[in-house]
Amino acid sequence: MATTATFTLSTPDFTGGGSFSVTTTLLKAGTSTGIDQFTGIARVYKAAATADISLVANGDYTDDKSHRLYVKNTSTTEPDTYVLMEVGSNEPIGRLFPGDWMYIPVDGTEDIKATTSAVGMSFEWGLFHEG
Amino acid sequence: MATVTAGLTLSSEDLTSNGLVLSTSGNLKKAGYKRTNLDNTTGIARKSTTSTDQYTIFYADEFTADKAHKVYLKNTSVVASEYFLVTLDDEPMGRLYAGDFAFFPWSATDGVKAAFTVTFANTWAENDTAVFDGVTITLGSTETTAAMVDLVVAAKYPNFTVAETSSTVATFTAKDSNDLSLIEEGAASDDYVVTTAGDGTGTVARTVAPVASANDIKITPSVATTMTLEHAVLYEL
Repeated sequence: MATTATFTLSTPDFTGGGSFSVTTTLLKAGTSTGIDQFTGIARVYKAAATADISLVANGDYTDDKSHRLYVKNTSTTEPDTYVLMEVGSNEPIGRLFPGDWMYIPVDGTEDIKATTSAVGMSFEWGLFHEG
Repeated sequence: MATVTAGLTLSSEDLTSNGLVLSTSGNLKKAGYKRTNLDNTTGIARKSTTSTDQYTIFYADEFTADKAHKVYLKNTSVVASEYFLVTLDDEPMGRLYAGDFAFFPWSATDGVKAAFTVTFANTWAENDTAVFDGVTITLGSTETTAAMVDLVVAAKYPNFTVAETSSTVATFTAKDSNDLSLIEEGAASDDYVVTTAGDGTGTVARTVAPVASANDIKITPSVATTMTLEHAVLYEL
């Protein structure tokens, strides 16, 4: 199994003239074996502002592994609306404004939740995991 | 700053039956209705670690809360078993194994910085001193009580900022909300210590109780041998 993730960042002012790019292969924790499970990409739509939408329930995944979570705010709502991402006991990670995305490691010991700040918001997400 | 574009491509030929290609990119913009471009960055930097202690990489105090900051982290190790556990304060988010990266928004919700006042009263005389945060203020031969606040405010303190509240009162504010020490007039090293030959006093009164920051970004290396984290924040004021 070979799944790769490539991150690019481009702006002349950020890197002094060129784009910045890193690529990694998604491997199982501490091994050279590729990740072999995936939730697929789900799309969530919330008609009302909704708190604590569970994306990763820690009980569903093995602890201390190398899971990876992708989330993108696909809303076309007002620019100041956001999806607040939180870990564990509602510890804020950050706000995904419309069009923003994130890609983070998840070790399976804490819940990952999302809260939409306004009506009619949507986001997509997927988890690459080890079971 | 010009437009900043961040992109992510996730691809696999064999994770799903028909292969997978997910590609997204977007301009990094400030929070709020206008959504102008992010215009500050720490630059891409590296931090080497040499123990399994927890290291704070970014202090929430140093960034404005609830903005559209973005954090980039990468474990540059080439040893498959080596990882950094990434936590937001004490909440573990995930393990960055060798070669892995992360890119995520950051709320940077900071704590509350302690503040206290010192009121100088009665008669201060030559060589009377006020000692705090490693800084000693000594009254000169031609100076009186009224000069104390001016001298105190003019000094530079490593862990506090200070401002003149009135001609007899100086207000100190901690630079770091994680400084939870109790500050009071006394003889302990972390207290405000006044030494006067006469009846001069420096009365301390806490005005703001500190609350520790709970959103610092921290890493814990898996091994005590050298590991290196690459990191950056793109942020707004």
